[in-house]
Amino acid sequence: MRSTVEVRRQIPSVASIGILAIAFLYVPLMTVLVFSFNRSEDATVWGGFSTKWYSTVLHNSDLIRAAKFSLSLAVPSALLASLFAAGLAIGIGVVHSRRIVLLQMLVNAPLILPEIVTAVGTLALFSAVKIPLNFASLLAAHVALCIPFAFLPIRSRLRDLDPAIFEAAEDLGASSRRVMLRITAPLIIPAVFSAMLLTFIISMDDFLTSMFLSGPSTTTLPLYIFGLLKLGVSPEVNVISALLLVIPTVGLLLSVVWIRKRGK
Amino acid sequence: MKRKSPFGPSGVSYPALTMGLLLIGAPLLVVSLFSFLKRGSFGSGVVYKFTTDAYSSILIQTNLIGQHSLNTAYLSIIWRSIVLALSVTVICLLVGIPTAIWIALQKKSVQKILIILVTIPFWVNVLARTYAWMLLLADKGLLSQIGGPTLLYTNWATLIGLTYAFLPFMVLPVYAVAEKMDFRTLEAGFDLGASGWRVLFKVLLPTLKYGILSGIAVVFIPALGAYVQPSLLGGNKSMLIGSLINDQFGDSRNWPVGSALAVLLVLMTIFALGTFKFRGRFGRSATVPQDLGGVE
Amino acid sequence: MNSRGNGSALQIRDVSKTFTDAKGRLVHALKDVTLEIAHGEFIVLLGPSGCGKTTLLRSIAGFEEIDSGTISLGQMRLDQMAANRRPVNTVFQSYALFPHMSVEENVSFGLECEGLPRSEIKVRVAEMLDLVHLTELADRKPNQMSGGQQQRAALARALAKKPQVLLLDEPLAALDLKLRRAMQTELKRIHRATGTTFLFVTHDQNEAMALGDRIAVFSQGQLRQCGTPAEVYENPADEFVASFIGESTSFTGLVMDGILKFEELTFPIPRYELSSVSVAQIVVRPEAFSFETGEYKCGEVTIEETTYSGDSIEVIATLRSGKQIKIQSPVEILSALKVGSRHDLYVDPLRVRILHGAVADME
Repeated sequence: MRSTVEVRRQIPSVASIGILAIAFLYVPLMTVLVFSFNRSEDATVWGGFSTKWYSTVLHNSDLIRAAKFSLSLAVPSALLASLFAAGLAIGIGVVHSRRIVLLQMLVNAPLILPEIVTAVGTLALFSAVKIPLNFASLLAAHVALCIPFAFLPIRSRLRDLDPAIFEAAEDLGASSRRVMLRITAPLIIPAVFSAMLLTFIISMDDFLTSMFLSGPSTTTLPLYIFGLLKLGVSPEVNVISALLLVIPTVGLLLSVVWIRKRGK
Repeated sequence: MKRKSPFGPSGVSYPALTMGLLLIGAPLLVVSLFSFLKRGSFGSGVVYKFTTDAYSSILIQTNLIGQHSLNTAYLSIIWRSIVLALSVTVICLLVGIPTAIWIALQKKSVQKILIILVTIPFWVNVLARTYAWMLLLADKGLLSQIGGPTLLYTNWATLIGLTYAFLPFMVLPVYAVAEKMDFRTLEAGFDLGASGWRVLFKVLLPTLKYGILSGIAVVFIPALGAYVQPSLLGGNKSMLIGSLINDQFGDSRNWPVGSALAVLLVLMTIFALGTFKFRGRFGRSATVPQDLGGVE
Repeated sequence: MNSRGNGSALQIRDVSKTFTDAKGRLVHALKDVTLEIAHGEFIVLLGPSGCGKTTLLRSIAGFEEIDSGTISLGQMRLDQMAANRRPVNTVFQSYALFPHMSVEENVSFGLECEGLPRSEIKVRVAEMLDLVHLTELADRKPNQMSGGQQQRAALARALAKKPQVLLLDEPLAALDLKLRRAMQTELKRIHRATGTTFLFVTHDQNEAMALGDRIAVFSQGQLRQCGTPAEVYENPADEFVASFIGESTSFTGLVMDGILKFEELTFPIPRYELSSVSVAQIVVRPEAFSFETGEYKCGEVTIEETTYSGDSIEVIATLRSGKQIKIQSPVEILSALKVGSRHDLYVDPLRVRILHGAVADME
């Protein structure tokens, strides 16, 4: 494109800013990755290559317990949130009454509302109606937090489909239940998978909601790590952060590749 | 005949709507309610008695002999939050817009890779990302090792951490518009003898307007209510609204004031949304990779 | 199987529908439409986009609710019935094949909804695939087929339900010209073979002429005329029908003693009995005019433009006032028709049409 050359010539600074921005995003991550292999006891001073802190971390039973708890929370959160979000996308369709729009705005509020507001709100609600802070109440809060993130990919999938497909199914005599099971569900399955992946990561990462709603027996991985971070830098946290960096990234990239392959 | 969903029975939307009503709607209602109640006398909680004390105590303090004066403690924290969030927004604008344009100018295949690169940091745990800056900015951190200042536990560290967290939020919506724009309009501008600045302000920025406006909203709003970065990078010296709310529900045990602050945060969010005529996809969702969104 | 001509199958009575458009204006999508369609008939709803023809089809299918009037099938009221219970089926413009199902699964879907036994479904699906010549492609997914094949699959899927009326919503619009012609022939064959009533919506007048037993012409939500292709072409009910179906020029003028005067031209209208003095509007098809002697001479015109189109010449001639007239002429005289030259214009008196209702008595 000739114009591209022209624009680049006239505004050469966009390239340098762009490259700097990418560097700005990755230098910190790379630093953590490199220093996770640091031999030194001092988190920030390089003392040679070693994987010894990895074995320390993998033998930290508190960490493992917190990670297991987070997994036990994130898996059902992702499943329920994606299921409910799929139901929402299917059930409300495209034409909305004003009341439904308002309800839908509530469901989607976590997308834009600062999380701390819903977190303290839920805490206040639970205390007002005397709901104990336990696994179930934490799970409910996580599901509510995750639904809108699951809803988006599923709704956008439904919007991309030819609306006549659903009219055709009705035209051929299908009840709305049959339309859902035979037409809608098979067509949105890829989007539901992405929804599950996204909400799994969101639930695994969640800090604020868990912080306000955790009881004595519900320490999630982010809560445990936050406690460590409050104490400052350490070689152990280097490793934990590196793992938190690598695992979701690899998971995300693999699933993108997998979904692409499946699409073909 | 009632108009119903073409995709299936409308009943299947009830679980999600109920969740929204019970776990988003009701909490917002309870927070608003608590902000008009009296503080519980022991430990946490509230006494069910109407009062506007929570709001007035944010503005006005009363000393032991009953004199009223402006309470600068809360106001300065709110002011600091707004200034910091605005600064983060401005930096994200200055860096994010050129970055988005730069990406949009690349070949399609390169664009895809760059967008994934911009997106990935967002899917890394926020604690890990914030920790990365602790490592860089700490006392004996890498920045000080190369002769720079120690910024950890200052407002500067919070500023950097928040900019780092929300830069993708600016890049993605602006890119979404820039990607569709015809860059030949810029060439036409130059061709007609306009200076670079004129083309920037008269052609480029107006074209990207909606991307930029939603970028501003999705950076400013979460930056205003941020908790993790200020409390880890800023330390105790630079408290922001988020930490203040946390305090009121935690150590200080003043739920009505915490609730009133949360209500203020909601009002500021609504105000920011209205101001920036927010359109398009929201915050974190804007970082959902396209390939995960709708695959055949 | 042919049950053509046993009284009316589908009765549409005084059907009206309004909706509010994006700018908040009230739009009449359908205005007092009354139409009877006979068993086994192939009826075409014709009109420009936004004329209401698709709204009518969707109202029959059950995707739109009508404000007033009735739609019934024999003794059965359709308009109160849910779409999935109506004994009519639709072939969609976009085909709307289920992308995750094979052709065979697509065709059997509607039969499964009826709860027919598996063996019967199998027989019926095979029969339908045979009818549309898709037996070989039964296992293909829609995205592995051409537009024409998808079209056939959509047809088989709708016909498998043995509908009382088959609704076809611009089904050929997405196909290229050659394929469209072939599919028109196919449709006629399938119509004959099944004896089903076909209601076909299109904006293409040639397609309407080629397919319809009768054509119902719509404009702005109203049914303007319904008749056989020849009736609609030869005796258009109004200026809209005359201009929408085929080319024509209309003239409005004073009629005296069987002669209509329009500026410097005169037209004979012997076939009509009009009172001695009246105003009339006539339409004349381009092929009713001629530049050669022998028939009635209208007057003199100036050649403005000629377009050679293989078997004839399309001529635009003007009167002194600038009024343009469309004329079709044999190619042999092309060399004589110089732009700007003056020529005598003749007309075939038998092909001058007075529009119904356009006659105003002056007395």
